[in-house]
Amino acid sequence: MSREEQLVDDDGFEIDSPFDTATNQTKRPDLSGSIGGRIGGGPSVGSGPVGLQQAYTSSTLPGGYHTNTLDEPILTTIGRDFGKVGRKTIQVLYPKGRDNALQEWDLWGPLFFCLSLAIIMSFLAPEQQESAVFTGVFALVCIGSCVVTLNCKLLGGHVSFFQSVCTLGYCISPMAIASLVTLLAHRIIVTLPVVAVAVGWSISASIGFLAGAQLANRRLLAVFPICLFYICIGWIIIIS
Amino acid sequence: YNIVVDVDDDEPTLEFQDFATTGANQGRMNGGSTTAATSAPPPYQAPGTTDSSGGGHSLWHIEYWAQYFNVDSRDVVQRTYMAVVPKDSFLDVYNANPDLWGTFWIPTSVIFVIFVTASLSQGIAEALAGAKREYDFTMLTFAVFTVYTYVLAIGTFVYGVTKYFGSHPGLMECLSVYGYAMAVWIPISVLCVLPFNWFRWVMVAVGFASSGFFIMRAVNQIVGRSNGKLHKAIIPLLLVVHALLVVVFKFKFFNY
Repeated sequence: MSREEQLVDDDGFEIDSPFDTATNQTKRPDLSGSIGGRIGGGPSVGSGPVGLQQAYTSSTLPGGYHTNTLDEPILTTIGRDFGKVGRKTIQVLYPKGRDNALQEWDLWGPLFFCLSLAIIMSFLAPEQQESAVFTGVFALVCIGSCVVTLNCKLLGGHVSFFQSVCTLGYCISPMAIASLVTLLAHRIIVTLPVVAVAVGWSISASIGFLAGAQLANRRLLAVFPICLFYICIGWIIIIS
Repeated sequence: YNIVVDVDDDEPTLEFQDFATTGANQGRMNGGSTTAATSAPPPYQAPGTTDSSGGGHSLWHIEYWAQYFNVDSRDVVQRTYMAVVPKDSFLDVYNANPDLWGTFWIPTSVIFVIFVTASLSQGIAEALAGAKREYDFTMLTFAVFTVYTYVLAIGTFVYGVTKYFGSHPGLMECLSVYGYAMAVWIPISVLCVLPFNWFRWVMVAVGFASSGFFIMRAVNQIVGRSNGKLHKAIIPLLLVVHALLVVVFKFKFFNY
């Protein structure tokens, strides 16, 4: 009886749980790894034995402190993922130094940019072709990224499939910005240089990523489809 | 004078090695070969020209397809040039090292370039006429459908017919002929932006001549591998189909 009183708290956690506050250090060895940082973010709800609960529900904060992410406010949970997406986008848009933000791939950012690009393009399309344009742009970006990645892999490049798809998707972000500019200012004199700059930016960002893929005499064969991909999207933006 | 060669039985390097029993020599021999293999980065198998199973990998593994991408940039440029200016035999060069890069990406580039130039000339025509500029996205989907269907369907058709009549074609070979034949349309469609209809007809005729001659010569070479006469009749048929494609290009894309 006393043992049960010891074990059962208001929250149902152990009384001597080390995770009462965010600043308590864990007494247990680190079993959590990077589960908290996975796709979709947030903690996986640990339903195992109490002793393992810390492993399934903890998340690593800078400084080595571990928290129970079930307790944190929702804004923190969502903010963590937005922060990761934002960091990767900054890494693509403004690659200063060797920040390896893109090592851990996720598909939220690419989805967001692809969707926003497709939606803006469908706004810019003629009346009866809006859904065709949306479908076309979305399919072009999705299938195009996969095909370009596959091409790079088949040529013998040392890239992981999803990491490359993730990078190509993040490199769409200048194009999404350019299409927003096109939406706001319908004049070709503004659109053309903006889109040209965005295309150049996207291509150089992807090529920078591709430099680690070790393709000896085949760089042109790998780079050409990337250029084709971005120029095609850029052209669709220009002619809107 | 005589040269006397001492065959010394004590030297192990001159003897046939019995790999089942000689441990030290075996270690040396194997050590040499394994270090060579592990030091080089092995992302793909070296394609054996006689090995059609892809080095033991099945169709569903990426390594099987990687053998068809074992070309350098230089090779692709050379093959594309041979397709646009059909002087030498393309198939001899191609069959030494079949590649799928050109077969896929050249039609894709053609689709893109045709879409760009067609929408550009449409824009120019409408700007000259003073009409409102609206673009036609269905042109892109039409281009995709046409080019890919043409290359895949006619390429496979050629493969099927020549195989039926005993010419031993390769599927990659037939598809590549049609894939690379599309390459001439990239410069032609750029030139067709100029809004002179007679000039466009001339350019289209040049494109038809170049790609038609290229296809005809390659198919002739495939067909000539067997002794039958009947299936030489497909060559005029292929030319007619190609002319049909060219006319479709002209009226759909180069008509603004």
